[in-house]
Amino acid sequence: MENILTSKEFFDELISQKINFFCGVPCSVIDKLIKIVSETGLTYINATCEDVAVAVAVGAYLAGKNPCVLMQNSGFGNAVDTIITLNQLYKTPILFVITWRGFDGTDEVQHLDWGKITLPLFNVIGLPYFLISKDNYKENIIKAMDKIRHQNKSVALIIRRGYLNEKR
Amino acid sequence: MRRDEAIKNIYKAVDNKSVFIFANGKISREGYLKCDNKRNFYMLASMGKASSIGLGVALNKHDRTVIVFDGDGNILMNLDNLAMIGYFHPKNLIHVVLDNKSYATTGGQKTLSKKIELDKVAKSCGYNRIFNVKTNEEILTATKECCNSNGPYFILVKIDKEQIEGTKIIPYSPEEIKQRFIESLY
Repeated sequence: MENILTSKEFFDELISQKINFFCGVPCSVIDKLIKIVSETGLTYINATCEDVAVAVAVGAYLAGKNPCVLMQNSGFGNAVDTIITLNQLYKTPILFVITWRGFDGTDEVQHLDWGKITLPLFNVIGLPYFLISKDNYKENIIKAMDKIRHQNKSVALIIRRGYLNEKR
Repeated sequence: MRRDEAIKNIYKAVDNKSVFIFANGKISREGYLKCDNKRNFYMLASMGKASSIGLGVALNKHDRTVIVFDGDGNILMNLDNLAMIGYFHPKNLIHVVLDNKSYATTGGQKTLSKKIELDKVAKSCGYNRIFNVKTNEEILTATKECCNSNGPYFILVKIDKEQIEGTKIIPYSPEEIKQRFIESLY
């Protein structure tokens, strides 16, 4: 259990990297993270759908915020067009936190196909990503924010079940 | 009323610090042709998301009035935006839907709006005031009433199917559209 990153540690690092606007659609893997965001008094916009979450975050970026959008990999499918034709087209970089359900082929059946295509899909649309673990989360968040600030590129931090504590 | 007249009338009625999100297609193109300004964000694609972008701007720029020029096809694609705006309730947002009951940019195919009362949907989602307008005078009166930061407001404008001549593709790159819009918000 010592190797599990806590949601609080992960959240604190996002805050230390100046993330100041959260928006998204829940997944049980990031249930605790969403609770922490909500409890700290930061804005958390619980969106109706992942595509809307991305567009709201683009609006927040235009207004000067550093947005983070949270979602499950299946929801990423809902958001693909908005990511390509709004977020990437206008170069309005966003930090994504995306859970990778089905990553090792052992999740519930509805997650298995998405588990297989998630990383290839990121590669196809040109969205850089980092797999997050207790050992690498700080350096990967820093690398991600560097791409956001200096290359105007959105980046995804990928959370696998079992790598982030979920329950209180 | 024509689409460009509706846009120009609303443009005239708000203060010169207001910012505008134009939905994709003819709405952006006529907005560019008739009232181009760095305070305009032209959405080139991502259909359905004009009001989501407007919500994100409005929640983070309380001192600016944000006007979204949406279409019936656009809002019907993401009717959930009405719920988002009603729930998060940005007081500085004016959501204008230019309703010609058709997808004008792609050849005039009909939308569902003939049978869907969009003003009533907005009302039940919690917008503060709803206006349903048809004439130049009505649109000016409604817009002036929406400028006191007690929104969100919803203005449904019935427009003609008639298209104006001379619209063209927006000449700015997406990054230029973004950059000048951001600068206008400083």
